[in-house]
Amino acid sequence: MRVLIQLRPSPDLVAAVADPTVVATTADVADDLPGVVLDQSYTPVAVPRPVPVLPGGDPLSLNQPLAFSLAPRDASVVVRGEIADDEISRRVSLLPATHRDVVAVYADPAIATTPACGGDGPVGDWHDVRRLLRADQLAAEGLDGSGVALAITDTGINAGHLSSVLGREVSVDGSRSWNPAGVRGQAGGFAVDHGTMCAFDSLIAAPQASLVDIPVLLSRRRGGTTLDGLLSDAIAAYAHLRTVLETQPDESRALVISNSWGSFSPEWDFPPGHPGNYSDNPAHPFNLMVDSLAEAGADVLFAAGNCGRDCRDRRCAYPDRPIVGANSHPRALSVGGVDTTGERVGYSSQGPGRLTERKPDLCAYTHFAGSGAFGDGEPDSGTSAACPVAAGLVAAIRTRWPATVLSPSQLRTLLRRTSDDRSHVGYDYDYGYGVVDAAGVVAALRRRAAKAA
Amino acid sequence: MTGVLITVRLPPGATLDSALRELGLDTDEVDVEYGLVPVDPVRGLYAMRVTESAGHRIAEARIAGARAAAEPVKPPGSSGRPSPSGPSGPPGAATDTADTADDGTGQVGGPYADPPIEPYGPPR
Repeated sequence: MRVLIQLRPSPDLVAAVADPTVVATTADVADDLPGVVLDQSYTPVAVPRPVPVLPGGDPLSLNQPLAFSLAPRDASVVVRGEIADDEISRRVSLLPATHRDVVAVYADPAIATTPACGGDGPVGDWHDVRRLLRADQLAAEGLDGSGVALAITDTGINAGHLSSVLGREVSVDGSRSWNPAGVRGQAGGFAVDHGTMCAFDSLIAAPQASLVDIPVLLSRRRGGTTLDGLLSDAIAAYAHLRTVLETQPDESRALVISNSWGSFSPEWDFPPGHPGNYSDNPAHPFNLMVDSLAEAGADVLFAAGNCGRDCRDRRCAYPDRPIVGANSHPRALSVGGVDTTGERVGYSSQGPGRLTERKPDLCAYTHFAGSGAFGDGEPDSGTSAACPVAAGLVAAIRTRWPATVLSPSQLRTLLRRTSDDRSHVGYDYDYGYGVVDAAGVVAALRRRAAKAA
Repeated sequence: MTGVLITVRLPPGATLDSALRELGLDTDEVDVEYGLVPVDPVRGLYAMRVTESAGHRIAEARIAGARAAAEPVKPPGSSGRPSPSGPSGPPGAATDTADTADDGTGQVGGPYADPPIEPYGPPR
């Protein structure tokens, strides 16, 4: 159990701790305390003593007018340590009795902020995301998505809504867009919904990207309100996207595919271990398609999902390891969500993934006021928003770094390596390698260019 | 149509009709609108959506074929290979030993799951 130990060492030591110009360490103020592993990395803190303001006040009462004295004879010092759980009662009672410097031992509970959950209001807006993604710096480097095909495989895009919110025209490439069988509608002309949100978020870092509209989730509507498709539609969509990729010249090959969808439930899947299974099976045809496109030079990004332990989406039905199938593919970038303060949103799915353990790979921003696709005041949320935010950054990079120069695998490594590490040191299943860091990516690309020159 | 996915290896220029002939399938067992989708054109691997019963029947036929091919001595009178349009078993009966698409042991893979996919947002 982690504890705080209040000490009253000699006045000169208290004075040293209280003096911000002096560096005092735990070792300076606390000798060996039996049964306590002192945290030497913790800088001791001086704690003022409450003193009654009125003459004759009760020195033990906190329910009176008080002043707080940091005078060396009054103040105490707190250090941090750990006591074995099975010794805690005995040590807490013995330490003050056997060591005259020890005043008391207190619990040091973990503190945490409450993460953003579904239904919570937005945290910041898309201008904050733009600033965090260093969009101006990217643009100054010529990294704005010009000439890059950015496919949004979703519910279709409404270009008019995007133009209205952004105050400018957006580019939707009708010739490279594609509809699943049975879906009617023009590229860029679909109803405002989830796909429009994704498109908007992808344009934050890559405002000049050419959107490729793939309304795969409009296929096979089941019921009047549910937007969903079938994985077979995604296979057909990827077959089309491969032709898009193959018609691009080698010197400008750049196709980024943003996928803010997945499978919530094992109900429609064969069980893991069955050769026809999707969730855990790299040989499923769709997982092979992802392999195939990545090999051909596409950057494939998937949302990690909204099944985080703090506040999971009620549709989540996998009992554990909810990052399944292509969302955990080794050749795709699996994107978790953080808000604009850099804190993980509570619904962002945690690893390990099923096809690859180290999922999510990294996190990007979500839960901000952005597209307004779901109405005024409703945030762009879910890892659905985080994925296209990251895809936009990838598209921006591709402006000057085509897949034939920087392979999808190399780019994934670069993004992971430059991510802003969160939580534990190194990889963790909440944040992956950290939060995307556009400045870090730009610096790394500069070094790479200089080396190549 | 509630269906499953199968994969099939076919020569370059294959069509849905040629796939149906190769697999012994009727058009009402196949999602014709979905068609024949190239998964890996370099290796001639394609995907189709078929009914669950057709998917399982194909899997059973392939397994039976593989077993017959593995027999060192065939009993007298055995034809050696079952008809690809043989009788179907109960759902899932034969699929636990079904082939996979890229193990190189057969021309047909599956049946594979074709689960619904849904948007990851906003969280509900």
